[in-house]
Amino acid sequence: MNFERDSARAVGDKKLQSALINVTDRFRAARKRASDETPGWDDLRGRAREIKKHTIAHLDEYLLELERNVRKAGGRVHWARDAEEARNIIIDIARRNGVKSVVKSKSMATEEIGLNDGLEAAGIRAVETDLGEYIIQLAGEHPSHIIAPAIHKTRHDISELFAEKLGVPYMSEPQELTKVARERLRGEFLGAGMGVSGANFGVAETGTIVIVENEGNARLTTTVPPIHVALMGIEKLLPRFGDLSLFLPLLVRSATGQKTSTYISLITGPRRDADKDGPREFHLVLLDNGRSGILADRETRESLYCIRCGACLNNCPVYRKVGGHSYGWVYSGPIGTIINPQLMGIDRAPELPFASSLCGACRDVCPVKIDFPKVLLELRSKVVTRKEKTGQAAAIMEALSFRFWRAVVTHRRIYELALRLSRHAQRPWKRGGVLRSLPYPFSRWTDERDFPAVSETPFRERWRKIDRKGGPR
Amino acid sequence: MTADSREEILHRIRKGLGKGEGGEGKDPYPPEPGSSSAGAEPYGDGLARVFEESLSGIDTSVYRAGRDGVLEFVTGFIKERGVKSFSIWETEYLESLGIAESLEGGGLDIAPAEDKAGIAGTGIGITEADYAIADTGSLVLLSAPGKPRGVSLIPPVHLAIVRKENILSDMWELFGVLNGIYESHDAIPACTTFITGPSRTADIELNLTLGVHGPKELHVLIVS
Ligand code: SF4
Repeated sequence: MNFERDSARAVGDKKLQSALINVTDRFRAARKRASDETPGWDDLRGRAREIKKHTIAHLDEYLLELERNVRKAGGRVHWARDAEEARNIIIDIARRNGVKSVVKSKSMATEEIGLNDGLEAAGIRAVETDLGEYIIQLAGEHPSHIIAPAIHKTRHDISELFAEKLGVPYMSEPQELTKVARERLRGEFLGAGMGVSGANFGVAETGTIVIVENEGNARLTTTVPPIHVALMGIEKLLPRFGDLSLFLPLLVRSATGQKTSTYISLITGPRRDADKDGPREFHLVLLDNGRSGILADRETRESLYCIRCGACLNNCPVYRKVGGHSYGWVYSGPIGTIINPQLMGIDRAPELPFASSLCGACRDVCPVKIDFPKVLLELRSKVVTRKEKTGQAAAIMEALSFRFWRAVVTHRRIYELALRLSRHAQRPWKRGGVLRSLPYPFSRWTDERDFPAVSETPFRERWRKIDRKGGPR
Repeated sequence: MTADSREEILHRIRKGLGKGEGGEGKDPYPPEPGSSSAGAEPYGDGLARVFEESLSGIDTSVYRAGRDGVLEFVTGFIKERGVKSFSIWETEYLESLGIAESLEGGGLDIAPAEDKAGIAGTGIGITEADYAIADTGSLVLLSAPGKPRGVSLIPPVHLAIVRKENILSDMWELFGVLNGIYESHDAIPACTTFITGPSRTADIELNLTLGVHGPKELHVLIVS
């Protein structure tokens, strides 16, 4: 991954910039209103944090309780150590049942394991059914925002895409476009052999998985096909059924600012024998994929409390500029900066803990009060310690530069000489007090911003003149 | 999956948490999620009125009828829309009102619940909400043999009948009630669904569009 390159590209993309500001402003204002209107909001966040803390501290016991209760309800439970194992488990279930096509509802976990590519390689068609995800899949792109995945596309982009891929006439009204998608996807739901979903929560006490949504595609995915497979990260657990009365409002209000979402499905096992619809088989796949490794560090363990509401993204000054594509993996924004390096291994995402101004806006809105600045500093220190150990060239360069800088600024004669040299050297590039573009390697600075030019008359000299004229002191 | 994966993940977790293989046994109770912040329940019609208000804020039409007026309302509602077929839950209450027979007698086709394509072709689905939440305007539907999930989901119009005594004040109260029922695991239905307004999306330029996958219209009849 390359945060520097991708974020630079995003900042230069005008369409993306205005879309990002639009969507994040909208969600920010809505979250603010919803939280202000909820009595005792801060106290609720505190309770939620305590419950997550307790759950994670007893994760093994609660996972076993969940497994027991899913089985009791007639479901099957699978454990996946990593992405590959999770993919294979799901592909296996599909193969055993002769499934040719799969409908999917939105799930970060399935993106995390690269499920769609895995299914395709196994000859199984996978269709995303959330409208935004459907659009993104048709375009062969990746989501730019956790809740509004296709927000970087205008209605005209989508019209052209539908005309090209679905062979429908050009139409520009969102209503019409939505209707086309509804009709297409209805066919997919009715024909699919299996539905794959994620899970917002898993309740240990009852063996229930919870899915929150507005469109109804997750309901269709978990109701219409004969098999339902849910993929859930092992950290998504809650101990008791009643905990949902706290976590559901916290999640939805933090995410979209709605009082509650249009649909919430609490799914406990497959259809009962006498039921007339619902899947005949229910499988829960529990995904580790690096999560258990986060537990060992007490300073960063709280990264696992996240309920994926997206509020930290919408309120992050960095995310609002660079968008979801810059973080190099499924999770973006502040949560991406802490979870990606820990799940992927810190060597594969060493820039991310630095992609933050440590302003703490994320911590202030997080419904489980994750202390981002603390976790980020901890991760930064890990990155730096590693760099020093491996003696990477950049770290050495950085150290040398600072030593050189110190030598210059602490010796007056050298300092003045350096200033005089720069004053001459900068002339060809100087435009009204700033340097707009410099040759490599300084272009790495001036490509994105100006650099103030060294003043023609040093301050010391101006000071002397002011002094002589008896001007203001 | 191999049994090894399960053991390995549990082992990694216990190691990360610094626990022995047996697990230490959890603190007796996790912290409480809290309880309702609402004051005393409003008297008389109060809850139903709060419920009505919440519904009108989320693009849902709401109607009132006495028990005797339900049949007339439903037949009128269907005639107005000119639909030819419908699907309906078979609950004791709905059967006692004779809605299905009356509509069939009026020449409408009823789609059986197990026929998904059939339900997809119907113009309207009729359910009886088990509970409603006044504070959020939510309907709570528990699946059961006579109460298939598709009826509130697949047709373009959903008409839900809510008995006034089943309206609860907020989420906390609802989960209190469900907790009581679900204490016996056999009583937990395969699916408990919360429905709050019609299906919606804002995925295209943040434009609100109704009826993307679920019903485009939600109508609620409160019966007292
Ligand atoms: S870290 Fe907090 S604010 Fe960010 S997505 Fe997770 S729960 Fe939401």
